[in-house]
Amino acid sequence: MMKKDQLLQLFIEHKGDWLSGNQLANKMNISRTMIWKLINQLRQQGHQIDSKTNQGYKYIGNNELNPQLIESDLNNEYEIIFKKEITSTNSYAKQINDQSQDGKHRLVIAEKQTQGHGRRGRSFYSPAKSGIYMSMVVPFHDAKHLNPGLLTTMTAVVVAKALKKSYPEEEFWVKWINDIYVNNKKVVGILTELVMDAELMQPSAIVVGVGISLSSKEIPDEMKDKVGWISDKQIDKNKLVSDIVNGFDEEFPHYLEANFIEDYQKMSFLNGKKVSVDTTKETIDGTVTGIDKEGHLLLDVEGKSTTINNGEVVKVNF
Amino acid sequence: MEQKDIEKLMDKFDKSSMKEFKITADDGTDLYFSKLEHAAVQNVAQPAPAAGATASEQPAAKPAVSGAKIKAPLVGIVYFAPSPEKPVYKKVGDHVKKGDTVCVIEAMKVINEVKSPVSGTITKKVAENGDMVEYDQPIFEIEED
Repeated sequence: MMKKDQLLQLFIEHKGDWLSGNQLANKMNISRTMIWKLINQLRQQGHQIDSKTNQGYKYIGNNELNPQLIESDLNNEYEIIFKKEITSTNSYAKQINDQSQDGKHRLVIAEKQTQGHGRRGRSFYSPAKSGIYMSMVVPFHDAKHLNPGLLTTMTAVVVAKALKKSYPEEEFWVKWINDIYVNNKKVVGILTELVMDAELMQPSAIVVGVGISLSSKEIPDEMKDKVGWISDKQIDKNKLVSDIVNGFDEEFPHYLEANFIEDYQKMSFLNGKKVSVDTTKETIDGTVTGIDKEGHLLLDVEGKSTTINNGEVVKVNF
Repeated sequence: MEQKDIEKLMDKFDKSSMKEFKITADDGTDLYFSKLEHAAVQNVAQPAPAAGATASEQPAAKPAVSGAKIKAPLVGIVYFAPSPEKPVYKKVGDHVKKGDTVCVIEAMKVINEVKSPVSGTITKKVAENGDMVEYDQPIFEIEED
């Protein structure tokens, strides 16, 4: 670990406490001048550190993504891979998982994606600084006990709840299956992939990719009517990431019990709306009557109740 | 299919240990080669079976030489291309390496890239784009190297 990161670690362990230059110098066995230099380096990386004569230094936090800060808040052990720029966190996560085959939990985070995408190769706009792009790699081997509908609805609930902690003043809605909306605009895309081991022909991991559009700051004007964002309020991105990962780890071991489905039902904004669902083979028009316990979409199609377990809502009549 | 392709296949078939070989090319060309003395009559100007022509008449019609299969690892919708605008991952006649992605199965937005369990040549596609496939349902037939 570099000296700078060691100092950051000390700060993280004593978050909110005043630490004198002398204390820090002694703990790290370096000079006070060196401490001062390291603190300047940390500040340049966006870390907010208060200083006061006679008191020393107090660590506040960092508005930008920082793997050390995320790691310090995670309940489980993850190998964190942090990149300024990446093609796609899901692609990278799958590649690493295929190469290493060590069954580790991993978290890939990037400030910017150049080829961010959703299902069927659709692009996901992922500019620098204004969003969070992350993929969790969670070891998983049992294809028989995979319930895709519950896994995706669970992830949507976990992400929406984590967002609510950072933005208590905003209302978050889910659009079946796992898009998250604020003010009728999509602000989160989730792409879940089951990764197979070609040798064993069984799953090796689940990769859960989450792309969040936080603020409008970096979004060019001509894109503003196409993409959504949550708000321009400053939040602690590192806490948001760790809230999502911790939330997922809490729920995933017993996701088949579907304890979260009531929350999902409450957050579903399609209820009562007329929609068109594309099931690849046909387009079904109907009125949404709810979401069942398996995460399927329930429709009233000309008076007949219909369960949709595959397809995409392509049109919503507000 | 061009004549040189057919000649190439014949040559390969001749040198192989295969007794029979049947392929439908992308352009619809149907080929059937056989080294059997009484070749099973297949496709080639096959007359409509008379009502009396029961299965007992052609027990050998189904050649035992069946290659490996690429099967669905989960229930879902199968897609043969990464996106609607892009070309398919693999088509009949393509050679695949073990671990190559051959299609995608999607279920309730969980995506699974289906990988080939063996290296070989794809001989047949037995599912259509947008089909709902069951667990273990074959998607491709493949002749191992």
